[in-house]
Amino acid sequence: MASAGSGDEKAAAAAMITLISSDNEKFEVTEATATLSQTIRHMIEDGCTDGGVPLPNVTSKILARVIEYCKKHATAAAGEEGSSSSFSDAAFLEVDRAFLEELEEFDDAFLEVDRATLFDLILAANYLDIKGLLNLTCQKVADSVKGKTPEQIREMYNIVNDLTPEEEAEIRRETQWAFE
Amino acid sequence: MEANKRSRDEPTAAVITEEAKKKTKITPAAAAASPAFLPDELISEVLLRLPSKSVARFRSVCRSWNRLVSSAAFDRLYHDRQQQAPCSTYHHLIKLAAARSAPPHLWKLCDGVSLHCDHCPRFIGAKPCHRGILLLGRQCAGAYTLCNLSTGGFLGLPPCRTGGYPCTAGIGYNSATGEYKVVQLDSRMDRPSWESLDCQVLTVGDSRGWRCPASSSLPNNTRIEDDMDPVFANGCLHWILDTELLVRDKPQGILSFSLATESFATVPLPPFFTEDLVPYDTHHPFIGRVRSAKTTDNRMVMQPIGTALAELDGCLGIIRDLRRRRDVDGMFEVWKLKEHYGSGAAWSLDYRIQLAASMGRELRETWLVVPICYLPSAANSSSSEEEKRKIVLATTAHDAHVYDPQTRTLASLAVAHDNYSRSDDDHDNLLCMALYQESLVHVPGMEYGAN
Repeated sequence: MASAGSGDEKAAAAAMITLISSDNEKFEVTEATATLSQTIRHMIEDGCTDGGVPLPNVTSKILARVIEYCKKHATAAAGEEGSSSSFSDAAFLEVDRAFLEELEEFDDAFLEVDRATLFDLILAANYLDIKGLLNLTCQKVADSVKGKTPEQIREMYNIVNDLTPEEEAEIRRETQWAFE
Repeated sequence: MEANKRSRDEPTAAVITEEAKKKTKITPAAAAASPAFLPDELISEVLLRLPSKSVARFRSVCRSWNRLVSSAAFDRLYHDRQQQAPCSTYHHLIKLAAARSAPPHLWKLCDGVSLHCDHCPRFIGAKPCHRGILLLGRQCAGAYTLCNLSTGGFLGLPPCRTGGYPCTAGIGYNSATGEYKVVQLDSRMDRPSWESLDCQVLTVGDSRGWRCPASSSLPNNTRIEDDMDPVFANGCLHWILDTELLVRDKPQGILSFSLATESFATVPLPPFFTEDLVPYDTHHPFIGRVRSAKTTDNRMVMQPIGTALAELDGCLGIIRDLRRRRDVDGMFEVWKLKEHYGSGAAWSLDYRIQLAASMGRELRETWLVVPICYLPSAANSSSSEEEKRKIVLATTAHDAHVYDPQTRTLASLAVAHDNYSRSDDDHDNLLCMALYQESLVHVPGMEYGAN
């Protein structure tokens, strides 16, 4: 199983896939890189990638970043078969420590983006079904809102408080412990 | 995939509706600078990654967030995720809670006789029960409290009648009915303690309070290793039966109590048990604490001191202590019960802990070493990869370690700063720590704040 898998990886490394962004920019990537996206993996399996894969929900700016992420992580993911488990688990498969640290540094630097870009990355990771990227970006947002008050959240994200004062008081009462 | 189908045709919908936008006082420039939040399904992805306190607080953000967080679907996803979190490859996600919360106190046993009761109140067991609920016990007083450490919620249970020492209790969850149950075994004052143990059960939230088990009482002459907390696995609480019974005409093995049927059964011990008995050694430094037994030909033997039960991957596990065996490779083995009960009880060797010669003082000298959970090494665990999993171990030296089978090394994970231990050579069976799990669970009647 393992040897067959690595043989496939080698074969796949040669195959190139063309991804087409919403603004019609074309990106050539290896199949190994592209298949970090389960969505694209399924398209390849269905044999409908000839002439390129149009990605109408992803701009060239975001697609470039996503590809950057996938290239870096594809090496680490080598050997992983599509599964329900998260990518971050697969990344730990027999990868030496130095590489892991490098990967972590890459991830940290990768997340140094403005909020709009981060949200676009989340949307793209969700659409392309790249579990590792979705986990990374959602965790980044989670970390940034963790200690905030509801008022701060509303302000940060322009969310309107549509709760009636009664409803809000009721929720407050039920969750008082969370405000202490 | 399903998720993609949903998102493919959807515009990147934001929480703010057009109507809502009109109501805000934010200028268009400011609105452009702070983009709208994510669509609902992705908001949920973010909230799932937050500690329970933040999640609960964010119910107040707006109606849709409140609806999302209060939904049964989110509740299930959140707790499933937390269940898996300690099994993550990342060590820093593992949190342990110190289990002892007060200095020892004097406990009046009977007229003029008092004992140091230095183990209470404390959290019982090394792992939380279903969805992060821990049992806090003052066993000498029969006082128990259900705790959710992440919300700070606590629920004092009705006092339990207790005959005193020995007394052991545990909490379990009946998934069929969605009920927590607390079970206490203690000696009856009206009989010699070695004669019989008394079992009392409490269904949390049940107005009947403490009662006898529904189906069966304890088998006569049951004796358990009463200074160890029971282990909840596969719907049952488990206690090791006293080894003195190994070779006598009494129940042998592990006592199990099913929370669903409220009946007792005996699980046979793994096959290595008899093999591991060693001649009784009067010079053993802890001779007062060793588990001795008498064979049919009247020889005194003893069991390795490190025998302990554990819950691993939902199965009952037992740790085999090989520290004093020169003829067997390895330090510990973990055996798992895969087939449950009856004649089909099938124990199998699950894991070996074998440290490099220069390493492992931490495990060599401590009284007990208890497995807490495995850390998977890879996404798809084939049998060869199972062997590579790391394991989290807690010890009665009140510290926790991660063992890596590939390097055969040990990394320190946590030390419980326990100021209440009597002395260093106090070889009690308590880990003084419990695995922490983020939880949103509210048990009806739970209070918050104090404590």
